[in-house]
Amino acid sequence: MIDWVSQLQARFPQRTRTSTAEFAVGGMRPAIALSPANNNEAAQIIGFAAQNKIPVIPCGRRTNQELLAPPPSDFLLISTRSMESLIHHEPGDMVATVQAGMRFYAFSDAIAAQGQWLPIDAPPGATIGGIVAANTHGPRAWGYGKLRDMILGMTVVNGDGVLRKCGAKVVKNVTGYSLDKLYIGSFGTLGLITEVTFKLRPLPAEGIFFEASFSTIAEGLSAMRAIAARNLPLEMVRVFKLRDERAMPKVVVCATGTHTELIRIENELRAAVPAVAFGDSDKEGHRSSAAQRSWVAGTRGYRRLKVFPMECGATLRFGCTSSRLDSALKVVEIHQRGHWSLGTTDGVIDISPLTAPEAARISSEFEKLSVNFAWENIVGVNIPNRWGAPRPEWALMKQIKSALDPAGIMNPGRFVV
Amino acid sequence: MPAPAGGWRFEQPVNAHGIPNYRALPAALLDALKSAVGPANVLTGRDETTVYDCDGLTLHKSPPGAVVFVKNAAEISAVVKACNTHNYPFIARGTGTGLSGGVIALNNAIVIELARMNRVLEVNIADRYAVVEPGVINASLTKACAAHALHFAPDPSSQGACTIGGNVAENSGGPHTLKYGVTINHILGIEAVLPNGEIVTFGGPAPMTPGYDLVGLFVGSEGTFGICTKAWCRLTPNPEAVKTLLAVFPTIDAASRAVTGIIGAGIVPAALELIDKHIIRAVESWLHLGFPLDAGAVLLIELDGLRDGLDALAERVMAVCTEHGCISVRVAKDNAERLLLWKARKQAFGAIGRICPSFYIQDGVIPRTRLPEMIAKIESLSKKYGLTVCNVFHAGDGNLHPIILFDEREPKQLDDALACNSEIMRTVVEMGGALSGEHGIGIEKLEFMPMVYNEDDLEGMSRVRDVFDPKRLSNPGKAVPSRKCWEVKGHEAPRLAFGVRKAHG
Repeated sequence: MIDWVSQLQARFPQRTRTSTAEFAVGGMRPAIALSPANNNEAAQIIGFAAQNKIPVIPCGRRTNQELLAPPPSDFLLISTRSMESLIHHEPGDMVATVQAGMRFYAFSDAIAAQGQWLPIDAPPGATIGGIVAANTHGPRAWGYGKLRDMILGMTVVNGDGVLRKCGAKVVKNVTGYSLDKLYIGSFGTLGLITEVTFKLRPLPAEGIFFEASFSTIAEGLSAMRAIAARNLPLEMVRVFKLRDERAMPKVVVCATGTHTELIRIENELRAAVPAVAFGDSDKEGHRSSAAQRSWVAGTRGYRRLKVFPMECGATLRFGCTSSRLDSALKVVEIHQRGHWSLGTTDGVIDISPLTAPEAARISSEFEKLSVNFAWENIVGVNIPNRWGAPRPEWALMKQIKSALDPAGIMNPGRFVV
Repeated sequence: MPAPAGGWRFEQPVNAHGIPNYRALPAALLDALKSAVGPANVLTGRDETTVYDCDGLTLHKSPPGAVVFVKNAAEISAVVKACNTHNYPFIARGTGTGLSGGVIALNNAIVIELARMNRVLEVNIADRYAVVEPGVINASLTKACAAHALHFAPDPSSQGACTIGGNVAENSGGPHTLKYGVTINHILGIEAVLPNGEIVTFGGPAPMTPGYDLVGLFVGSEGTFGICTKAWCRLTPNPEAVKTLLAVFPTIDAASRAVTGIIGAGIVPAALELIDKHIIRAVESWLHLGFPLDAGAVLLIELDGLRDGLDALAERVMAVCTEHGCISVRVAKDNAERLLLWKARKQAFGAIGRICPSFYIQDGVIPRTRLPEMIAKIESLSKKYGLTVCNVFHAGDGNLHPIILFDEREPKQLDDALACNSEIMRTVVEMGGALSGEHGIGIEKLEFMPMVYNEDDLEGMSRVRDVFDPKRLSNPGKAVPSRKCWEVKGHEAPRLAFGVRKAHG
């Protein structure tokens, strides 16, 4: 056994998880898995790792680990699963502070009991810390914005083992640097997020869900644009196509509001795309199967489409300006068989089979078009630059990482820094 | 509650690298500045530079070493590089409307004046963004895209004068922040000159820039991470319908309870502003807008969205107001009346200037459920110090703007105003609030930072600052206090307000 493993085991016997198989990341088992019960223990563990230059992989319920490159060998896994309390929720302030290990669904249930929600979509099981570290948000970012617009403050154990807080617990704050923005989407490379404070929203009174089928993705796109152009207060409008050659592309629209507002929205939708019949609206928002995947997300989460069985493939996630979308789609149009999900400025496409030269071609075409992208869930294909070619500002990011993780132990080699 | 100051210093005779503060402008630097921007664009005479001694926080003043007018990022880069060569501090300035002393040229810094970089470079309707230079006035951007029914959402009260560059530096808010968010929620990308003179771009119009969110980090860094030279601003569609209500309350307590009630009922208005009787009287005596002089306070409530839902929403809001003792509600009949109601809010600070020689505006944010308690506390402090404290603020966000009125010429009043200010700050922190919601820390609130952040928190911020500005040349002495280890032995941290004043006579 490695020396530091036995030392950690001796120091944190209660926190050591014996079955490391259960904590495998990218098919690799950690040398030791520890689940600290509080901020201080987390700080001690990471402090120890920093002193001994041990690679640390922070994790919640491992729903987002495949978004990163595989870990180095002999790593320490630090799990937030013993830190899963709702620390504070004051409904009158519409603010909640929650420990990073709390599952998003459990958190949603707790605040829904008080008539509030955090309008993001996340995979089942995902933890608050994981969602924030991966900057997970679903299709409803279209209507509600992204996590960055909902996070007020955070507590983080940085790579030097020091617990630091940033931001605040009130809805508006410009006190000191917004390091919380830095941690959102930093994939655990700067530290372990231990607590997050969110700005919540009131649960909507009523919701509607529409879907309409089209024979081609292009037709779906033009319907989506016609709807988006009406500036309605929608939650989302998106084109989905399942991974099935016979599957028809669908435009899915979700909206919330009062009864009168929803009637108006329904009429506008029918006027925007007159030639196509939208499916019956589902005022409960809980019945249709597509709703299960998207609209229900608010209280029950976004049921991510099952990762396809494949031998070689990957998920391509990209973002571009809406006027670039057509050019971006031209680059990937030959991969029509995969699952597609398109917004007005972003897309997620599962591509399988995928070869390394084809991935390189897509990356290079996207870079020429100023389309941002990330390759995720990579299986059986070599994609060296998951986020494209290094950019000038990455040097600055590396310096920021060195400042907050001086020993370079947090998720080393797994992200752009 | 940790005591302020402690190990943190707020003014140093030397900075972290032993570079002395308060120094004369080296002749070689002046030459370098002149060759960078042309001799006609460098001001050094005190008669010309005096107007650059302070911003909206007139209590603090410091003369710039020189004022440099720049036209583009390349010139800024050249000026910044020259300053680096001479280890001389610099600071960018828009129109100086800040309220926290953020653009005061501490240590006789070079002021880089951005007023000439005032072009809207692109308005992209299809993709709903605009690219602007930092000197563009906030309201001009909205004007530039008004024909397309789009606007730039952050709307500080000073929007007719403040610049986008300043909004980016301070992460400014405004009344409509409640529904639409602050500046950071509307900035897609930044081009900046870093404190070493390098020109960089963070983010951009397309989402999903890989890596850390440097735009989020840069916005609100108060000029300490560099100078924004270009910003990609998100444009927001104008709401289809707007309803503006003026709800009149007998007391400020009743009005603040109504605010807590509205938010607690799960209603998110576009704006929810509280204006107290002092402000109403000051505004009325000047502008004669027809506000009720016998009211204890009024709430200016704006609702927007689809016209279909607005009446029902307004009824819900009015029901909450009535429940809390609202005397009457005036609904703006048309846009002209709406603008009139808003005029009272936006001109409030100007009106104060007419009734009192000096005033001190605060910017603390508290949990919204604690507004009534806070209002009572402010009233008791007002009595304790015998100073009038007016309230006109973003009530829906819990973002207070208590305005302490005093006469600067009376030393006791100035002392009392500062003491009253400290007590309000302390109460904000005790309630779990933030020191500033939109004005920034600047130099004004620096001494209070250790009340909200411990040494580790501040040291973490300091580390990030070291990445951007290891020599502490970019707007030094602002935003985040510096470390104790740089302290010169025996030099006590002076009370800030007086420290700066004394240093410059």
